Amino acid sequence: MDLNSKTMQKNIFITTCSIALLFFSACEKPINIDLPYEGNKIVINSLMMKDSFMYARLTNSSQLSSSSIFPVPAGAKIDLYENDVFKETLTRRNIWGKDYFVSVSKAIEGKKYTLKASAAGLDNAEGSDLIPHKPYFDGIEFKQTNSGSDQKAKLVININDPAGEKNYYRLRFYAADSNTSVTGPRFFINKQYYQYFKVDNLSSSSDFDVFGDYEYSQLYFTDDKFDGRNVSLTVNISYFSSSQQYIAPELVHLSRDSYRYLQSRENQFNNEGNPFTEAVVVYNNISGGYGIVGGMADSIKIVRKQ
Amino acid sequence: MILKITNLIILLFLFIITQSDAQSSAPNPKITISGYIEDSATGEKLPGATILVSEYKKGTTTNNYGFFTITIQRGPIHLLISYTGFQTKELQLDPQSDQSLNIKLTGIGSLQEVTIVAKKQLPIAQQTQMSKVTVPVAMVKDMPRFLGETDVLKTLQLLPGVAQGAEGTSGVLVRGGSPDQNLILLDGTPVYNPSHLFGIFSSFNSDALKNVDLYKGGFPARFGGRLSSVIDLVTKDGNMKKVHGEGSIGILTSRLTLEGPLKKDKTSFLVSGRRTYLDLLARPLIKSASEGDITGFGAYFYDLNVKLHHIISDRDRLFASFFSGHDFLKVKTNFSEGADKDVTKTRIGWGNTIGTLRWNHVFNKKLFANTLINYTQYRFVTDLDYYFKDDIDEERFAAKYFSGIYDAGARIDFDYRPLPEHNIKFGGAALQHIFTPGAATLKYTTTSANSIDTAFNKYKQRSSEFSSYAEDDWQISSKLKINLGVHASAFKAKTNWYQSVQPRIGLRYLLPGDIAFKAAYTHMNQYVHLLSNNSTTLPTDLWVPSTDLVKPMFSRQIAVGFAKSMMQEKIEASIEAYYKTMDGVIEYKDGASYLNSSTADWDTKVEAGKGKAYGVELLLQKKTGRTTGWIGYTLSWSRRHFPGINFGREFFYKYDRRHDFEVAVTHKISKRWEIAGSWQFQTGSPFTLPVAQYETANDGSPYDYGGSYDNINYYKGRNDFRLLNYHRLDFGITWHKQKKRYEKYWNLSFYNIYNRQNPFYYYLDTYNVSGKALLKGVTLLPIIPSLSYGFKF
Repeated sequence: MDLNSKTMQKNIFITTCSIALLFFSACEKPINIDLPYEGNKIVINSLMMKDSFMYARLTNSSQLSSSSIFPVPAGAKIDLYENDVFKETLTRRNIWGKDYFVSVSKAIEGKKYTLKASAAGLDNAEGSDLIPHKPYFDGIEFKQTNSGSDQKAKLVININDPAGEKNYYRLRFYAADSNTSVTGPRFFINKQYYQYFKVDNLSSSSDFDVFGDYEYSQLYFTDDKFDGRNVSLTVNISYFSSSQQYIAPELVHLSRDSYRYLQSRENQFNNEGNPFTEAVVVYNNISGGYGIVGGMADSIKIVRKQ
Repeated sequence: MILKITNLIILLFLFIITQSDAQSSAPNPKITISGYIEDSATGEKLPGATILVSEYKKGTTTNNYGFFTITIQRGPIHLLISYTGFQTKELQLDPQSDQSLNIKLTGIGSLQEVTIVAKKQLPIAQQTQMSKVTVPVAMVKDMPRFLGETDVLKTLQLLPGVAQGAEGTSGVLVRGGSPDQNLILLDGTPVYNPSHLFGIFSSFNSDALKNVDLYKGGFPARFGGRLSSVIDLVTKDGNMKKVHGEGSIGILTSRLTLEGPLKKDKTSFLVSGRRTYLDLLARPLIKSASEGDITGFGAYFYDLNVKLHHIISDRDRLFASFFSGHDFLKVKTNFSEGADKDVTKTRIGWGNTIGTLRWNHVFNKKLFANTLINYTQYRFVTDLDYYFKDDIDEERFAAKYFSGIYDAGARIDFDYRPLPEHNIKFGGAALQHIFTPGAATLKYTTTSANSIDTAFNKYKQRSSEFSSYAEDDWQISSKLKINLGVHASAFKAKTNWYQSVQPRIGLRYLLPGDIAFKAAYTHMNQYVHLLSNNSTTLPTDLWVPSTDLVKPMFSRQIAVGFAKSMMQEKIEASIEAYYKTMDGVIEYKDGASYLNSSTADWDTKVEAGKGKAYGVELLLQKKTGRTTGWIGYTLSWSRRHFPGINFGREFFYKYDRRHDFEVAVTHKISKRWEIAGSWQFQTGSPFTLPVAQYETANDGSPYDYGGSYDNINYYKGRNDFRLLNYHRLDFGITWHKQKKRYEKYWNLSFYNIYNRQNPFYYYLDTYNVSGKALLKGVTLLPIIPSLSYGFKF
């Protein structure tokens, strides 16, 4: 071995030992990267129900943080347009501790409603949508129930889907009760709690198998598999409370925008923090801001437990 | 259109064959020279060696099995035979009739000569083939090592058009394609999951390899079944002359390769193995630290290559090769106290097993055939076995999850050279797939209750796949050469048959100044999909067949470029532009989880869409001299579009990299010292990041309960944000010494020598003390030195 080789080998040895020390002390190192922020923007949230007053929230967006307080910006104002004609300025009211902008007129099927929002120091924002027709939700058959603390029930519900249009639905079940008044029985639907349910694939339409074997509190679906047909869904419900005597199935016909917003929001919520899924982008139809202006129409029934 | 092209190609083949018969009966018949080219020291056949006929400025190359054939005018000729790392051989011949030659080339040997003087393959400007890179195995072995290991796939990542997946892994992403779109062939047999240690290392032991070809486009018709690349790895045949060996001892693994004749010049063998041994060293420490509770521990990977080569006659050769590469992690705990006993065994294992039996047959001077039958499997298994016993009860709980793909097939390839201007290849293959995508079994027995013995999702799907092809590399004139081919295939899904006819067209036109203009247009079809989280190769990745819902993938690729050899062919330069469309690529639906997709209805959780990728690649490569290596640059775009993802808006593919620049260099300082380095820069990957948050909407009325939703994170769209740029410098230095009977070396390598903090993964931290959310990147691979010792005899 020549002298140069010896020197080189010695240097290599010393370098190796030094760097090995560095390696073992630095195996995992987090790097902080500031998130981009688009700046404060107006957020309009309004899901407009057919034949109901329209309620809207107008808030500020914020940079991503652990906080979930979204103040109403100063000078907040919302104007309502019906079929692009000015209808009214919504009235600000405090409901359950939150400020809402409420209409005096009701949402009418087939009309387009636009909400134009403004606030001091923020760009104007607006969003619009059509109010859909009520869903053709008829024929509910109570199949069976079991008793005891773990009460469950089986229902068959029928949806009559109109042909030639793409329809978007949301299905929920609530617990309900009644009392007797002079005008007859009055029903109370407890919308604070959803009943969990799953849909059997064994339905009268053998090819209607879009639902897997999961339990839902609400189900979003389209008529892709049953366009223009009457479809029966066999639903298994876990009762929330055995003391309530009725079940109230609610079928909501959603506009396309409402469906995309609600469905994507559900996905984002369900997958938050899951490293094995892609982040879910929530649909936004507000130009100049964020949020949703969406139309919907509901149909609700009361079924007595047997 | 496709049918018209196919018909045209078939007519051309018929025309060529009839022309061949006509010419053989002409008054001045041509003669054919054929044979094998091999290493004089080992008898190893040399694939891709060049045979040039000086008089006609014509040449050919040996095929993957070292066989060549060339037809020329009768009369004196001067042959130049060359191959990288070997002295060029010159032969003066005056053949009056067909001749069969076995040509032996002598290796230069790095210790005898500092400078590599020999050449190379057919100069790049002479080849019709484009988008192909041959990486010399010697170059792979000279590159800086990661934890003492050389890695062929990591070397391929340094080529233009090839991006790596997650940091430090050996995932290969070619021209905007996904990892499952690479056809990785080991001696002609597909390898489904070519990685160890969660993708950190590839399954291929460089000591056992002879040749590595990467095709990024312009796919010859003989290849099919994947959209984006073909990585064709050929193992050594084994030394026919005498026993040789090589090995190394590193901080992670040790390797040993032995090869030699079983019967001199008749039968040879090769055995090459590699194993990690940290578990062997750690086992006593773990036992001691657990105070004897851990009674069994193993965490290792190994791979083993075995090959036999037998020369039956001048016309027939038989090869049998076997590969097994597996990873294991197992722990056994044992607690005992009095009559109580508690034993738990857990195990995770995965790996590939491959077997290939190949027969080379020379029918005549013009027709060569390669027939093979093969088997390949990839299997993942994890299980838990729990046993408990006390005075009252005895119970056992055993759960097992396994998935895999098993293929058995047969293939025949013909190499036919009817005329000097034509090099025709044709053949066919049949393959039977068995898919077992994620089955689980559960057993529970106890003395105090009913037993459970059940299985979930336990099913197999069998699918048949057939393919055939024909291609002609046709020298139309001294300037114009075209490659016409067609590949046809069919696949049986659950109930449907899928078919595909794929034209493959390539051309080379020699411009003034010996600049070659090249173009290629190819269709590719892929019948199998990989359910993966896409960031790295994981053992849990599932191969699944096309179904009635998820159709096969299909791509079209067009590539054009220029190539030129410079400085007496020491340097090759090429520039290529490509545009590729992909149909039927799959992606998980918004919100669908990779974790629960291993069910029979997996195809309802993914969505099929389209992809497109385009870009320009520049490669400057020096293959000879004291300094060898390349500089590569890629400017590229890769996008995806799915109707139900990102609201139907197009988005950048997860591994879209705008700029990709790489340098790989080896330099022989002296007979003993050699240095190597590589530097790589890649634009950061696209990432989906929230740029704001806002309040969620309630139901129609505030009096209804809208659900307990959190705030909404606002993402402009999928993959709208760019992560940090990636760059890294690796460096290695090797010291060789020739002893009387063997050669030894020490290699010191530094991975990431300037300690660039390239994050391995990112996550959102919304609950830190500042209250402001941050994106956090976690770096796992800082500067990593490694020292390894090797020997060769």
